[in-house]
Amino acid sequence: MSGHILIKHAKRKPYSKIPEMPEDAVYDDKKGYWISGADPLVSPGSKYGALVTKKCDQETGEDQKGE
Amino acid sequence: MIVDYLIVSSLYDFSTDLVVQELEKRKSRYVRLNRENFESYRLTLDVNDASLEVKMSGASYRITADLKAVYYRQPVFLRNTQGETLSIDEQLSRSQWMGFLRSLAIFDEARWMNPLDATYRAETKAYQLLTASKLGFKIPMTLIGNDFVRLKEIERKIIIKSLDTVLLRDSNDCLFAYSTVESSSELTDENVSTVPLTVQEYVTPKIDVRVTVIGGKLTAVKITSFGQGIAEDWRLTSRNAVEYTEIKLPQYIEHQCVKLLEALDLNFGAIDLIESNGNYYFIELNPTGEWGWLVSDDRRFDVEIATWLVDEK
Repeated sequence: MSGHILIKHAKRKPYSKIPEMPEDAVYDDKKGYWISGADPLVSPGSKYGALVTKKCDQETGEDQKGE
Repeated sequence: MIVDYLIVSSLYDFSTDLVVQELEKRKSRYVRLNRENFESYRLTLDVNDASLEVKMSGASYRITADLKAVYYRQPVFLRNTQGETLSIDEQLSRSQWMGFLRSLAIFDEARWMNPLDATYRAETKAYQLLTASKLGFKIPMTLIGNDFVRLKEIERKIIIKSLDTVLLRDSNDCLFAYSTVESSSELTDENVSTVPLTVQEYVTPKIDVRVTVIGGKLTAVKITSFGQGIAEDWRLTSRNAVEYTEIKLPQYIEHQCVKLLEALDLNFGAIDLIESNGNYYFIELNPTGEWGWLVSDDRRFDVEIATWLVDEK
């Protein structure tokens, strides 16, 4: 099976169960989003901005199908 | 609290954070459920009453048949290629929570982005390719299977793809399969027969185009590197070397994109096209495709999605 052409071309990288998060990031159940200090962690204008999603996309198949 | 808007997502789905913040700004009554946290919630689906009670962090939420909209970001619950031995508890958890999520179909009077059944059906690449073709899109010659003799009918350079997302565990590593350019002469019975794959005609030269459709509103962005199309899977190119430029598509292509979503009963879709020598080819559609990486001051997909959910025009 390991000789399958899909395996041959697959990109390998260290497995990580959760993405690397800033130390002060906390998920707020009631708000329904991550916060950092008093502000949202992710917003179009934040330091940890919307572009961070691109990194996650590339690591999980770009369609929320990653585990 | 009675909930008007239900968000089903995952903890690290940061794009959903943006949509939720928009709902909060509008003082909407919403609750977000993350698949990783289901065990910490206390959930009761009352079938007779067509309602769902959610107890979370000391608060209680009630979802009724009057629910207005659902933002559903779960094409699968958890991948079945876990690559590690699961305890019986974990196996039970995965199968039964998936069934629970499917049970949300009882809220069939709400607006869904996207409907459960439509999402699962549209995940099938062969089906979306054929649907796109019937609507007038050009599609690359595509064969799916494990017979290398037939697959080699697409000659010279080919694109190799998996039928479904390949995200595999191998000890401390994970493997992810991108679309790959290969020579059809490399296909053999030994490296193909055990698992079916998708083989497509390699359309070249190419410029990748991502079309994001939200409630019938369409935004197209071409993806280039130093102004040129990217020969292979553009996701393999360093992020710093990739440009996203908003473009205007020919009207008939825009029309076909919108019609495709209608045909698939989707209210959101991320469509991948290729432009080659003035021709546009449909490559694929992701019903839960990512969009956060395209958000900018001028391109607020988060606002558009929230607006669709609350049905504001």
